[in-house]
Amino acid sequence: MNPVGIESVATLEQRKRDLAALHAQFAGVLYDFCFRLLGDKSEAEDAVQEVFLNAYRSFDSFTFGESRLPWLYRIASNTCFKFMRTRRRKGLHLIEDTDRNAGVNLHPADTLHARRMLQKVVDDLDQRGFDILVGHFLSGMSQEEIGDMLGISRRAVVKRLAALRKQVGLCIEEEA
Amino acid sequence: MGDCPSHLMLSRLKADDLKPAEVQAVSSHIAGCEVCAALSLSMDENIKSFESKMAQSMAALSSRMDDIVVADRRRTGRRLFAVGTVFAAAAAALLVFMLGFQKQNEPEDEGGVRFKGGLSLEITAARGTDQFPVKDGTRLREGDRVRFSVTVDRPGYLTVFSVEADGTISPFYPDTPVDEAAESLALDKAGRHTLQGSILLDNAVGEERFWVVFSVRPFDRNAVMKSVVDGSGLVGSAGLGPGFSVQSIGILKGD
Repeated sequence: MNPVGIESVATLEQRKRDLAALHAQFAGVLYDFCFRLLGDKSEAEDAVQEVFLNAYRSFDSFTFGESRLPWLYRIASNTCFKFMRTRRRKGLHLIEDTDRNAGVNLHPADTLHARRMLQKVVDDLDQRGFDILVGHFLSGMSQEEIGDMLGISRRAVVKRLAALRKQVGLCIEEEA
Repeated sequence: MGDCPSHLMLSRLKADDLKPAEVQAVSSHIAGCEVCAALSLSMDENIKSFESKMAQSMAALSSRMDDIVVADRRRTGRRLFAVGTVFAAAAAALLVFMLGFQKQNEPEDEGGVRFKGGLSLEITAARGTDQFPVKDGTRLREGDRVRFSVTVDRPGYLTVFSVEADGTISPFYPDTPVDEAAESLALDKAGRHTLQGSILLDNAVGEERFWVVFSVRPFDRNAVMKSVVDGSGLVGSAGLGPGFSVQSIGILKGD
C-alpha cells in the first residue's frame, strides 16, 4: 500500500477526481460482478466501496493499458475473496436469490452454480487460485483474458487451472 | 459458449469501454445469442438497481478517501516527530519535567464531540426492505441483518462481538476466529463510525448480547472478550479495569 500522506494536495485532488471518474463509469458493472459472487446486495455495495478504496490506495500500481476495468476486476476479485472467507469463518448462511430461468442454458455468470462452488472451496484457495477460478468458471473469460487481468502468461493460467482441478476436486471444463 | 464474450467484455460494453468495432461485434453477438442476451438483461437489472445509490456511494467513498489521507499524514507526522526527539532528548526531558508532558492519547477535540462514558453503540436491523433500531430485548430472527454504529469521543481502539446464552462467542470486528490472536480495531477519529458490512443472523434461538469494548490504547481482543464473558452480566467496566468503555445490547432470537 502506498502511503498518501506526504503527497501534494494537488496530486491527491487529481487522484480523487480520477477515482470519481472511474466510479461514475464502472461502479455499476462492478456492483454486478460483486453481486454475482457474493449473492447479497448489501455485501456487494460494501464490496464496491472497498474496491474503489483499494484502487485509491494502489493507484500507482496501475499500468496503463487500453482499459482500467481488468485492473478493477482484479481488485474486485480480491475484495470478494476476503468477503467470502470472512463469511465462511463466521459460519454465515449465504442469502441466495432464486436461479434465473432455471433449466435454460445460461452463461456461467448467470447461474448460482459457480458462486456456490466458489463459496464452498474458498478456504482451500489462495488469492491467485480464486482469481483464476472466478475468471474461468464464473466470468467465462479466456485463458488469455485471465492472464492479462492477473499479469501472468496464458501458460501459467493453464498450469494453475490443472493444479486447481486436482486441489479442489472440481470438474472444470477444458477450454475449447 | 465457445464464441460468447466473457462477463468482463459485457461489462466493458455496458460501461462504454469498448472500441467501436468491438461494440459492433459484441452487440451483434448478443442480438443472436439467447444465452448472452439473458445475461445482458440480468446485468442491466443489477446495474439499474445500483444506480439509485451511486451518489450516496460516491459521497461515502469521498469521505473515506479523505480519512485515508488524514490517517497517513498523522502516521508520517509521528515518524518525523520521533526522529526529532532523538536529537533534542535532553532539552525535551527538561521541558517535560518543568511543564508536564502531554500524553499521546490525550483526546483530540474533533468537532467538540463529548459525552458521558465516551462510547455509545447503535444497532440497526434490516429485514427484507424494512430497517429498525435494535434495543435491549428486541426480538430478531434468522436472516435478519444487523449493522453496528459506534460513537466515540476520541480516537482509539475497539472490538465488537456477541455472546450467546450458552457462552458461545462470535467476533465481528475484527472478525478473526476466537482461537486466533487478534488486535483491536483502530478508530482514527472521534465521532460516529458505521462499521463496514452487516452480520447475518443464524438460526440459533435464545438470548444473545452484542458487546462493544473501546479503549484509547490497543488491546488484546481475546483477553478482553474472555474478561467480558467471565464477568458476564456487568454492564460498564465488565471487570476490565480502568481505561475501557463498554456498551452492550441484548436481543432475543427466534420467533
